[in-house]
Amino acid sequence: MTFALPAETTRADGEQTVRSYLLVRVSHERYTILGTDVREVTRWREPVPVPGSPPVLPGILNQRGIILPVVDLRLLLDLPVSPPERTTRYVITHRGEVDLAFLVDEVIDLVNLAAHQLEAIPDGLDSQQSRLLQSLTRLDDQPVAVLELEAVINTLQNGF
Amino acid sequence: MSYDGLLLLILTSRHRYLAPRSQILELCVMTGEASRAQPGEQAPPTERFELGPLLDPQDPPGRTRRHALLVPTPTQNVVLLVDRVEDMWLEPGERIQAFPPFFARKLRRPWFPGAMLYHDVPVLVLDLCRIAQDALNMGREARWEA
Repeated sequence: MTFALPAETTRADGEQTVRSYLLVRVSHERYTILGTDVREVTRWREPVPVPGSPPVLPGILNQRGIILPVVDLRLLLDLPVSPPERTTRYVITHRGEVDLAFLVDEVIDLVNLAAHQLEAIPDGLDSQQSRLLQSLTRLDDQPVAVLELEAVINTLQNGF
Repeated sequence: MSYDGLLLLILTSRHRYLAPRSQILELCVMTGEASRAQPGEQAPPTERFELGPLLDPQDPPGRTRRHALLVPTPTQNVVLLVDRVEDMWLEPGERIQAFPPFFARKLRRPWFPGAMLYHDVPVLVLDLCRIAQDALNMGREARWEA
């Protein structure tokens, strides 16, 4: 089962710009992905493996006639990996010329975040992780990292 | 990689692949110690490789009757052995989808230029010429190291 996200999720709310983000769980951590980068979310199914591909790229997937590379976000973020469960999902993204299927452990919700809710990445954070993040925020009093899809794609293109 | 619409569906023990028919010189069934030479004619130098384990070490050589794909390289012809081969024409609207450059660069070997949907399932497309050339080189290196 799949569901489509709103195509345009940015709106002016007084003087603050509010954007919609997809809130996901990756291993034991929570991240958000900008809603306008997300095409849809779909249930996990076994990807077709490509011999010689690194573990972070476990295979390819047919999504509505388009063959997409699968990116295991857990490995990219250097987080523990567990077998697929009922909640495991692919987040299908589109940015520039690149379409990807990100494997996440759970899609939790669609959330709205205003600019003032986003904080800079602290210096002490692991550099592998921090270069993939745009900012940090808090939801339900828990920390949540905002993924920077452009940085993720650059990392995939230039080395990991 | 060029193709004229005719593809080969190649089956190994564990996987299936696609490849342009234009990349092979000949397709035949191996019967024992089959020789390609006619009486009085010198056989062209060829080397044989099992394609399945070459692509995926977890894919064991098949035990069924072998089908041979004769692939040309600049120096000699190479025989790639597989379980089974079927002809397949591209239908209107069907196309080989190239992998994004970052994905292709991350592969251990540049043997898969893309994939194509076959009954809605992605099937890897092979560059048989590149595979044959690399197999030859790997064979030479292995002999040199021995």
